Amino acid sequence: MNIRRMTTMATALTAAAVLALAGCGSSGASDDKGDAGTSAKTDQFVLGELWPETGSLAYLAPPEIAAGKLAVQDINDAGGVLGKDVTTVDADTSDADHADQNSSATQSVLSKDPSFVIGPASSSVVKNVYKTITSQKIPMLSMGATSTDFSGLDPYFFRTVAPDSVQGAVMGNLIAQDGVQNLAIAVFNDEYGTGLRDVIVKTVEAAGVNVVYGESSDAFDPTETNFSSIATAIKATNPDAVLVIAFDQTVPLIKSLASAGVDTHKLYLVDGNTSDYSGDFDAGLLEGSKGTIPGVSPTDDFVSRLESTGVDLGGTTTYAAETYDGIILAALAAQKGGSADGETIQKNMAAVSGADGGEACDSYKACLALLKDGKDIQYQGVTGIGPFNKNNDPSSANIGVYVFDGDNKPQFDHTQSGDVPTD
Amino acid sequence: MEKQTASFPRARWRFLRRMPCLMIVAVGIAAMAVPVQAQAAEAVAVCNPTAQNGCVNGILQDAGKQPVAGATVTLSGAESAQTTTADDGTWAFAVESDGEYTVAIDESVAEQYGLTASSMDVTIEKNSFDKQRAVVRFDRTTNDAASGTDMQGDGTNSTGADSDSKAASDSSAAGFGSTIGARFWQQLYSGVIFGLMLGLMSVGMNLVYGTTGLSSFSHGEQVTLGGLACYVGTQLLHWPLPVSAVFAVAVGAFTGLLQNEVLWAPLRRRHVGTMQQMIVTIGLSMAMQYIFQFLFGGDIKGITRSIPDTFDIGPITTDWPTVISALIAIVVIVGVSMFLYHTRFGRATRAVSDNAALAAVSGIDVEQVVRIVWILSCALAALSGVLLGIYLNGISWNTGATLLLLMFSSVTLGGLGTANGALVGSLVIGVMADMSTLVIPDDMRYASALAILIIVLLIRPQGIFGKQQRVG
Repeated sequence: MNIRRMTTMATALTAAAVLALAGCGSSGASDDKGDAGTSAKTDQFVLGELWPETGSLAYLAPPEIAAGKLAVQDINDAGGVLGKDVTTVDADTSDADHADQNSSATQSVLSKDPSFVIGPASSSVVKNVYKTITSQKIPMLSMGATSTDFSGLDPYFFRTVAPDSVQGAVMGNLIAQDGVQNLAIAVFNDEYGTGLRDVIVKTVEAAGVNVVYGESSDAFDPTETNFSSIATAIKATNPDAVLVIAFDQTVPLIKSLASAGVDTHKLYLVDGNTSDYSGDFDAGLLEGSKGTIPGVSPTDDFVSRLESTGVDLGGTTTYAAETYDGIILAALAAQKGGSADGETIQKNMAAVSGADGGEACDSYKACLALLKDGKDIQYQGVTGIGPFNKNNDPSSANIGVYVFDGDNKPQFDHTQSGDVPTD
Repeated sequence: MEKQTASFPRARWRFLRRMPCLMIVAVGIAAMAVPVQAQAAEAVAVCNPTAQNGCVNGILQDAGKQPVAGATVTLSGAESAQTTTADDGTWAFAVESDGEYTVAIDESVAEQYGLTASSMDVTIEKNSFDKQRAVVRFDRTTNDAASGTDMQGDGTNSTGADSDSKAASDSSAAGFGSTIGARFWQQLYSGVIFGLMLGLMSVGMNLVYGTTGLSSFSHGEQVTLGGLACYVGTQLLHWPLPVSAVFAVAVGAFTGLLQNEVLWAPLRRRHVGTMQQMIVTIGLSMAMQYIFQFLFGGDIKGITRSIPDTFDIGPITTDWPTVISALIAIVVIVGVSMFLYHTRFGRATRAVSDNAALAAVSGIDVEQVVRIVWILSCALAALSGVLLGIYLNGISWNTGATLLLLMFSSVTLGGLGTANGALVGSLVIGVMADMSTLVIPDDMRYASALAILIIVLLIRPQGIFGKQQRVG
């Protein structure tokens, strides 16, 4: 519908055509290689990494990249997988508005025969690429795809983040117990945004909160730049509080809301945008606003270890723990299965996460020692999630609730934990 | 198919293996549950669910959001307790066992504050995210509250769903009518502001088209460049905003000159067709976009950090930066128009625009005119980038690209090659885009503006201000 999307699409089509032409000569060859490569036993663990280094999710890339580096470093320091150092291959997937980049990044990583692929974080991007990866029997794990539709998506698709049904319920209750009567929702029209919105709307309406804007049709385009009419519309509905579900669009959107006279101390943010805004806003703008992020608040120790990789985190650690645990789990699965091929890793992912019980261990080194002794293990990593359930979702998860302080930084308030629904 | 059948017995086997384990856990829970049952729920100030306890909590307030302090709240069911509401109306119970609970307040309190209910049933399940905390609100605004009890929990979800959604749609329909009035003037205003900025961009694009016949797809990147240059000035070099804006315009003007000298003039000399030149602008557009992204990253860059104080003019809320930006845009557009119609160089530009060959024969230095037009066009684009970056609260590597089609539409709508046409076309597009959200979903607003373009072109193919041209 949107005219700018049409440009993107035209660009994507052109790019796809070019890629198709360029790929003509070599596609047959790489297919053969792929089939042979994945089913054969191997002791070389090749980690494929798909990061959103550009586009509207680019701010999420630094913590993921740092976590990836840290995980590989920890694995290799402990002796590697099956006695060999892990090697990596990475590519930039960009965001879902650059579908051409999604698939070319995936192809570029797949061409190196990875044992396992970490990423991408965005639900929309996962939707664009997962079939390409899983059809080659290469397991992939998303650290941030929270779409409720992805539970049991594919036997080769895992995630270390809880689906939106979980975060939505916590956020919905948070809004209700704060006494909000009229809630406006500024949400972008994207798989993640509308999925999470629907869960929250269901929860708050059950508690008697009236949703005055954004309940079903009022979503903005993910590439939107002009938020003044949205802010005006929200202000006109006179809400007690505004829920903002967006990525990088959050900064101009909140400024527009403030300009329109909306109370910015009563905003609710979600995992896509609960981050440090001390460099973006005047002090005190967001004070008192709340946000939720799946996972436990990363310990200072983990954050300082992330920083030690030399990556500038840019004030956010979102999905760093999920990335780290995802890579460690895959490495342990390869070690347990005795081979670093995709099928072996896929078969052992649930086991090393503790689905069948076993001795608990909290680092690659400790778990590796137990595995070498022939014991069953239960990796308990930095995210604090439970073992994978039958849908390859974490069986239990934590949602952290944060409150923004006077410097516009989210401060950890409390954690809610519980079981992830499997139906 | 094959994969699924293969994995099914496997999953089942795992389940069977876990059975004894589960049973032990279940027995353990049952054993623990006995003493827990005897314990009463606890009234606490703040309750957060953990593995050991669930929460029944809420806030007691009247329909006007005023908290009701000191009211008694009673919990009964699987466990029972009593508490009084705090000064801010909040109350909370930490409960230890799963099951059904009923929360009640005094009926007289409910009546006194006009609350729709005085008791509600909830279900607590400590391990489930959607049932570990039950928030009870007696001030619910939905109309189906007449029954008073059993408003929450599984019952409502199925039986009350219809009336729930009906009530919601009723209220949103009512809200819709009442908010149009409040939004009309404000959105007209923001439409005009956006139209003016679009006009500033389009005028330059239209000048280039008029003099060289080239539709420049890289004009959007010139806008981005202006905004980013201003960001560099204010945020990286810590210059005051006006200095940064002048810097941005200078950078824009310089790139215009540079482009003309190294790219467009040589292409013109070699008599490369405008179609081919247009393809070059598309390539240039992509190259510039990704250079911006490489240099500045993919996030939105704010030119200013602070949010200006707002004030009201009648039904419109605005702030000084917006007003000043609009005034600058008007002055510059009027200035360009005067320049074209009342100076010698302007007349030369229009002559080139009408017929370059004839203008050259009559002694006008066409190359010089085109050079100045490129400089002017890129400087205007940079200025609009600065104003846009301030108005939209940020500029990113692709901001200009997202506006390119709107610029083309404005220019086409107003009449290709006419300066005033670009302004009027931009205002129409800007106002249409912003006003259309009064009736259609927000993410479709640009489509409505482009629908106007199609309708206008069907009626008046040359655009609003365009000259009729004879075909054939």
